[in-house]
Amino acid sequence: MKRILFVDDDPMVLEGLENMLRSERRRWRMVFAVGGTDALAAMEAEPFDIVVSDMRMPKMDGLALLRRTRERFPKTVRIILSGHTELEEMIKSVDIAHQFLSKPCGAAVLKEVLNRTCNLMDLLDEESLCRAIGQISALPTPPRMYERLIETLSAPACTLEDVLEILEQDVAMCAKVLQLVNSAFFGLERPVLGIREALQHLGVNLLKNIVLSVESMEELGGAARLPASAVEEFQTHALLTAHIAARIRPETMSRDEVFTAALLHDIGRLIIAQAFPREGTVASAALFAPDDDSRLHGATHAEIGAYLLGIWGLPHPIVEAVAHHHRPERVAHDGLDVIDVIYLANLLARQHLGLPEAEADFERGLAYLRQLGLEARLPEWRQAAQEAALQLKGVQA
Amino acid sequence: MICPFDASFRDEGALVIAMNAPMTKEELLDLLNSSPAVTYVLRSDSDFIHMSWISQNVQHVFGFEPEAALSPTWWLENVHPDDLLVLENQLRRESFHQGRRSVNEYRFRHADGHYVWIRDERNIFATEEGGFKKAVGTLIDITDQRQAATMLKRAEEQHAVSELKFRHILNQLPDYVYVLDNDGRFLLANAALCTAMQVTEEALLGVSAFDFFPSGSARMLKQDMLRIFETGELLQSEVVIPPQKDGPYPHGELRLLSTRFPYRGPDGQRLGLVVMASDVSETRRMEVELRHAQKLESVGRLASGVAHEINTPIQFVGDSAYFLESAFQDRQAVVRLYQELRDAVANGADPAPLVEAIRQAEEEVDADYLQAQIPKALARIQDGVGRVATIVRAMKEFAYPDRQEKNPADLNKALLSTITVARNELKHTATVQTDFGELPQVLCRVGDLNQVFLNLLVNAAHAIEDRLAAAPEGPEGLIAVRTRCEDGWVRVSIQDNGMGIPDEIRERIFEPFFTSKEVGRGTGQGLSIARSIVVDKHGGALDFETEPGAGTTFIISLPIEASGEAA
Repeated sequence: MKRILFVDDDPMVLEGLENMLRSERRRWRMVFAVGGTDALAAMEAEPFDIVVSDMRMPKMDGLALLRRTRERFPKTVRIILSGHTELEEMIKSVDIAHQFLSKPCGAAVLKEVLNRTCNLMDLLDEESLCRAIGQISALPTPPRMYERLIETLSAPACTLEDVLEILEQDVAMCAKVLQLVNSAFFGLERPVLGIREALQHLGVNLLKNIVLSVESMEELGGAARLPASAVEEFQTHALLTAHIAARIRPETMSRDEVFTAALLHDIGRLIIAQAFPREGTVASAALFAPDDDSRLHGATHAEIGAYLLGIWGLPHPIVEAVAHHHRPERVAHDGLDVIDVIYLANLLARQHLGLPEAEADFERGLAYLRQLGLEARLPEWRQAAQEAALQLKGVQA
Repeated sequence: MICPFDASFRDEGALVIAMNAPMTKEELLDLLNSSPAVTYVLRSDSDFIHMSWISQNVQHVFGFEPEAALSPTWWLENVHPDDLLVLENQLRRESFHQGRRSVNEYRFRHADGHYVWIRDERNIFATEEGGFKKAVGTLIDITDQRQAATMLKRAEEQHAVSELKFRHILNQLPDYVYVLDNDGRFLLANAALCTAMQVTEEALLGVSAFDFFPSGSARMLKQDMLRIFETGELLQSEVVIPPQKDGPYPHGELRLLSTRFPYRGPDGQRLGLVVMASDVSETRRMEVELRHAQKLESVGRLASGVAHEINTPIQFVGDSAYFLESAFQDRQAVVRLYQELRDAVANGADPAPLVEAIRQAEEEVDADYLQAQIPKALARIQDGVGRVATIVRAMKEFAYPDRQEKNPADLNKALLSTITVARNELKHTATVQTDFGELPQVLCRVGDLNQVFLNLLVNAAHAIEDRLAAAPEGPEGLIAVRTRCEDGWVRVSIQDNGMGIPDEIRERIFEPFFTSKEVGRGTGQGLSIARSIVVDKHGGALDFETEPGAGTTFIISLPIEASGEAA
């Protein structure tokens, strides 16, 4: 049974929440704490899977509470439920909270968020894994990339295209932007699955604001655990996959969405390299290990990546695609799905870049293709891969 | 100085002067020799006119020995060359008849070389044929006079220039300037006034201002003039001239800042009244707008806080309603079973299985919980809706556009609604305590007063924030709002336990734009606007007591009977 802690300084809010979530009382153990101090005491008494907290509370505000939570109980997923409408408040929370909800938050939305998060937590068994991932507020971006972004954002005539061009190349920043824009704060009708669409919603100015004020993103530039060159190589693979996926996708699929999901597919590797440096091995080894089922603490890089994106509130289709990007057969679907596209693009990219075990993986891929009856399209797709690689050389110049 | 005396000759070689008392020759010569004027006699000898006698004082006045002066060329030699020609021409053209006087002014050389200006006045004696017989004349040193005349002329010129300058400035001034005499008649009116009133200055001179200005203004002017004459002091006040259809200001009212003081002459005597008036209509209009803008600014700042105050109750109202819906369904399910039971009993069927079913159902839906929670949820909804209504109402009262006139208002209520509106801004910093005494209705502009209350409350919260930032272990923030009615005055005090006001800035806190806060925390308008509203608009007082490190109390005193705007 999942355990969820709700924190607010107004007892009526808590009572209302308790009433509203009554139907879930058999699935979730729910505790309602008035104020930060009581909340921490509750967390000391028993571990919680999720904490949902108000932002502005006297004596200990929501952010302070969540910061302590991250320190003491990094595994607990941190969600803000705030009545404040200012953007600054939301930006402040980006470093600390996984997700941000606005009051008034309807029953349906809250239940969906909690359900989704609970399901995610089933994806990974291992405590240490969840703890490590729960602590991450941002992933490494090569300093060069970060600087380029700042430079571009600061230029007076900066357009969306200029920014997109850079953002599209960086896995970590893409993930962060998607986390932000999918925050219920923006009250968007549908979840945002593509980085271009995300930028359109945020706008250049807001992005600039965020990039400059979000601490974690600033730190990244210097996060020295991974050599920048390794991260850059990693990004190349991600980018190539994305470009190939964009090319081989069926017309009906949104380019933006396919591109974005493909870009993020291997984010788990980045997480592992960053958060779990194995002794005796170069941290970057994780970035290029074979695409097999090797597990770190019982989870593949796919699951790890999906977990992070999930607790960050990214939309389900992306999370799913990342989770199953090299076992597409696991997800029931008809015809060619985003997952398939990414799977194939990944294979082609790895093959092109000559990454470990690429050929073996490719053979397996072929078998899958035959199963789907799409073998005939392979040459066309190989061609697309070549073109994508060329295009990439141009982009990365 | 010339001694005008009649000279008549009785005797050649001597002069006898007709005076009241006869004189001896010696006495006469003494008189002539000691006079400031040099006297001389001219004679003609075969067409040659020469000086036959000259008084002794020629030595004293011109530095020459009398004998030297009698030399035929003496006069010619010592006349200034520039003046000589003119003189000679004139002299030659003179015709001679008896008693003819001739006067010249020219420069004559003193024995030591410098020239002096002299006035040469002659009385001429003619022959029967009209020829020159003799002449008696005087030479007087008029150097000083001439200098004085030159200086006077220069002074007059300068005065004219300065007068022109003064006029020019006066007439360029956009302000209206005029001077009245002690009876109120125009002595001076500058171009601005004349243009505005569509008259010329000449037309105004001597006209009574009380007849000229519209009756209302004229009356006030007369009153003020009498008052100023009595006190002898300057009076400055704002004068409102309502729009006059046919007057020079048909649109909108005119507001003038009028300065009047006694017009005094050189020895301090009162000659009349000087009036200077500046048009401050535009300034006043801008002030009103500025105040409104400041009010909107604070409303804006509060808006996000208010949004939070509304979002929170809406959250639990929604949650409670959601719960009530499912609770109702659950209860309905049980009720239906009870109904079946009722029917079963009525029909004599075995109730046992239904009873069991009911028990299970009740356990399933947690009937006890519903029993307890449903009323709570309903109450919560009422509470939440009430909270929202209060805030919205308070906002409405707060942001209501200013009405010009004053209305009776309950200040306790006004304070409560301001506190409500500001609650979000205040609640994280301090607890607000209220101690409201019985207050009569106060004639006031309650919208403006709400602004004052808000400014003071926000200042109090900021002061406490600052203190806690510097010393977090300190006592909790407390803002105490107290109202009392005392001797015809209503006193509202807002006390905080914040930073207090340091001595150095105590004098300055009411200055417009003065602020000790960093950027983003206020523009420094709060207290100056508060003062303007309380003191200028309501005839009240705004005081404060402070202790650095311990806190500050602001006290607003308002007269219950409005005294109107300060005169």
